[in-house]
Amino acid sequence: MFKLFIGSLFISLSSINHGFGINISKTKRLIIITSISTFISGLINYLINRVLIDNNLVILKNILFIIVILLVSLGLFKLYNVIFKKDDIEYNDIVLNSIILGISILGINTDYNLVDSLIYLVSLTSSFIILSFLIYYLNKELENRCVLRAFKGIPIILICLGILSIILGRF
Amino acid sequence: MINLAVIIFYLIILNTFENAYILSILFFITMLLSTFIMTLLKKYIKPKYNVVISMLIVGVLVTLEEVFVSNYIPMFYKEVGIYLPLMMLCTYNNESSIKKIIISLLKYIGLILIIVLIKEVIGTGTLTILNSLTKLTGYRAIYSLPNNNFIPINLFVSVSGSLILIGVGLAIFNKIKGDKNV
Repeated sequence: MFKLFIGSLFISLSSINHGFGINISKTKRLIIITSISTFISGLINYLINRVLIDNNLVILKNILFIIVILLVSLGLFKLYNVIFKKDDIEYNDIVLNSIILGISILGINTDYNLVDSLIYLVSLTSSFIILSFLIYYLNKELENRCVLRAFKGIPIILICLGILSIILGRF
Repeated sequence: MINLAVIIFYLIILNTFENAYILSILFFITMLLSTFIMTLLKKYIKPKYNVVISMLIVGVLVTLEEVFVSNYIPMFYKEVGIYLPLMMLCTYNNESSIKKIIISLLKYIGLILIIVLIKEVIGTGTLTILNSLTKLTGYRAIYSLPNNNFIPINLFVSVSGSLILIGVGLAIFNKIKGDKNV
């Protein structure tokens, strides 16, 4: 279990494996909410996927996957508004960020059992949080630096991530 | 309408030119059809539900594409099939019109094709034009560069090399567009 956790955490961290966190999050809260939403919807999707595989209905997985993410994100969005009484996060942002991370979970979780899948989800979400914060601070830092105008924004962040992933890939 | 994160994601996972153009065709058809359907349904949908409805429409289209691709282009489906649902991130908004969508789609598809072409040629020293499609077309076309000391550079096929290449590609794209951030 521990091996799976550390393994998947480092794999996704070191190679910036599936392009997680490329959507630059505007607020720290969005990162946390996205992670929670992905975790919950990933778990529900795992269970749904099992039922679909058993009944030969795999064709429906995409539609159900979106519906689950939409509903979970909606629930969390409403909860956030009730608890914090702020409207700094948009519903669409949560959905879009969750789906990016969720797609990879959708493709992988057929090979694992429930416990393995749970561990994988935890490590994936934690690596997403680490990466998102990294990109958040990188973006903040680079905004104040002197960068060529064409490179400003996403291009310079991608180049920095590329260099970072070469360094992390060595471990 | 077109989410840059999706384009970047696809650029990272695509390693052959053939996969790039198959995906571009699928992407083009999906976006065009979903925009067309959304334009027809516009009157009956409240603007705040646009995202949800367009996601579901793209979801249905992607499911149909998945069935087609898994049956006729299995090699492509094995490599890229998992990531096809990412198209759902490109959602409809009120200002989207079919003309605008076609222009922006062509720009981004051009970007995908050029970057993947450079990636494959420099990273592997080959150019794959027909390989997965052999089952459909009956032809196979993979060209390889003559032996030299510089190419292939494996870094460009890896995720890190792809990220650097995409960064530089986007910067050039920005410059051509007129120094505006993407």
